[in-house]
Amino acid sequence: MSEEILRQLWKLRNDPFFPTLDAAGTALRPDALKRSLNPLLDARVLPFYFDIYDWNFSTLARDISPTKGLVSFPDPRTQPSDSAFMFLLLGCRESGLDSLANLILLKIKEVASGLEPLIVEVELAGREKAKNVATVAKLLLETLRNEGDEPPGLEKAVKKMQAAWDREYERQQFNTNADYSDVFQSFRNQLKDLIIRPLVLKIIAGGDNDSWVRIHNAVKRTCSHVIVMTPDIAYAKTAYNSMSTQTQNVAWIRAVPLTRDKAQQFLQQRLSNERVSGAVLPPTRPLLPFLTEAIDVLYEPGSGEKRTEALAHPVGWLRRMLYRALRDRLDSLVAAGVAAAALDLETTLIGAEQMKQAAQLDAKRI
Amino acid sequence: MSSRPAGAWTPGLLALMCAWIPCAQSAETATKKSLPPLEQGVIVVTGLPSVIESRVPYLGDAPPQCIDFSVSVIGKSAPELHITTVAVANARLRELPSNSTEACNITGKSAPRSIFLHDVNATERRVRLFIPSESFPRRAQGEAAKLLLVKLDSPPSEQALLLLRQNPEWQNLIVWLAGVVAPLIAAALSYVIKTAYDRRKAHNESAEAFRRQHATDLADFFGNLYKSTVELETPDEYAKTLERELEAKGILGTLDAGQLDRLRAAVRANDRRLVGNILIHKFPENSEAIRRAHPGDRLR
Repeated sequence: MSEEILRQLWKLRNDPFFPTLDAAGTALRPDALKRSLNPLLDARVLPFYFDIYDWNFSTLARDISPTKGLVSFPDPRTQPSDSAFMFLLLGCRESGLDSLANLILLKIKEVASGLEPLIVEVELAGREKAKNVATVAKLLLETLRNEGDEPPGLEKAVKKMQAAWDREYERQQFNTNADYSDVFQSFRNQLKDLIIRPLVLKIIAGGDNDSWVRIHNAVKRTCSHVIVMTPDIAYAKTAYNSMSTQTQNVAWIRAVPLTRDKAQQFLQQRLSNERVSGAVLPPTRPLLPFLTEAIDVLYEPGSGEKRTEALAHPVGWLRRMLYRALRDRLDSLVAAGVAAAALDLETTLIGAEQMKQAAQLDAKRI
Repeated sequence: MSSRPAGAWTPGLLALMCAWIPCAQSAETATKKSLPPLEQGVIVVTGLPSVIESRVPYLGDAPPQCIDFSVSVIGKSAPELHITTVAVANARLRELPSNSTEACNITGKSAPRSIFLHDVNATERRVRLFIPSESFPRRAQGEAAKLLLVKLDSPPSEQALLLLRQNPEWQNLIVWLAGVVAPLIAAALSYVIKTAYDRRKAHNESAEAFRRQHATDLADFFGNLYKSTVELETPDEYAKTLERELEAKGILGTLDAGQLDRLRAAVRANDRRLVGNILIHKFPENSEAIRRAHPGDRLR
């Protein structure tokens, strides 16, 4: 029943926000688009990327194509070999930061001739530089240990690295200014002929500009890339400024929340991707089954709110709202038990009321 | 006027009982001397206090004092009794008719300095002694004076008086304040000033030590993160980030309460220029870096 409404009335072959099938009708991997988009798991999610990113401070990695992912990406052959490339990704919760990081990881894989990157995922606690570098070292060792003896000799190398680390940590653990540069050089020597996969450090939360720069200095010859995800614009900008004066190997990309017009473009793109081929829409309903009022209601300022800048929402939140409104409308139509053919299209549309309900339900859930 | 009860009358009565004996003399001395013959007549003065006090009011001048007393002569009546005062400037005397209610100041205006009473016998004659306020001495111990009663056929009789000026409470209060409270206040004030000075001095020293010890960190902060913060677009982001960083770098701890309030108010009001000026004042070593972070603000 819901399939019929989607196809016959709304001219959609799939849920446009969490599609299950690709254009050819083959099932997509659900985890590749469940929360964020992950083309590493399923490259067919690339067309779902909507460019909400500010590339002004990223000359080497920029722009999104539905087929290639990032249009341009730093070529390791043109970069200084002794320094990892650092991506500073700025954005708040649900702003599309994880999807962007996955896009970068996909590109890293591509430039490494398809070798899967080995990702060291780190969440930093606090702003102590030495402590944060130590956390990175510990998690790097743990990640390598989890790889077992693949490639052969890695296990032995990791043991040596661990011993070197233990000695250095014993010596430096109370030194708040320690940079552990010696031990990281030793890591590089142990790994340089062993690990051919790109080693990527991904800082998913915490730290500050000083910590990130210190960490980059520590791992710049061990890791190929460092990805830092942060909601703090001042830290990101400062780290970018400070690194760009020393090396060109830095990019700062900002995930920008969507204004009303951008939100409509996003919805348009999602719907277009899932339109039944050859579908002819009523000229007044380009966003079928959504009415433009449904978008408008999401951008109404709250009572007593005085805003100087335009209201904007993170893309993840917007996707959830649109999905919830569509799903609720579909459920209510199915519950009414009227055959799709007997329904009047105009009575099935998603307008301001339905969207308001969806937003209210989301607010209650939070 | 205030009068002395009980013992205060004793010298006067003795003197009157024996007209030859001065009032200041003790009773013992008096009894040893020979009494005058009753035929000569004995002058008796009643109702005259030996101590006369003038109470200075809180405001304005003290009023004159009028002391009414009675004079009689026991024994042989005196055809003429001359009464005057000694050592009381501008004192006036007037014989009062019985039941007179004459106002004191009227007496002062019209009465003579000495009076003659005629045919004084055992019948009491009322006399008023008027003492203007300026006659009362300023000295704390008072001024000795006399009432002199002269009868033609006998030596003069003296009635000793002590004139005292009673200062008002507030004068005592002023003396007390000047003597006790003022030094205490001065001491407390100097303690407070010294403590504040010491605290400020210690604070300045610790701030200077902080600047010295963290010179590299501060230069790094003002040259980098501070600049990025000043460049933040929204006032909310600016205020939130700057307060967090000033706290984290220990900079807020170097400010005294007043400076801290001023800085916080400027940060929250998004007055970036004022914030820059406050920080330049506190961190002169970093003034160039702070100025660079405010290219359009023309900081001091």
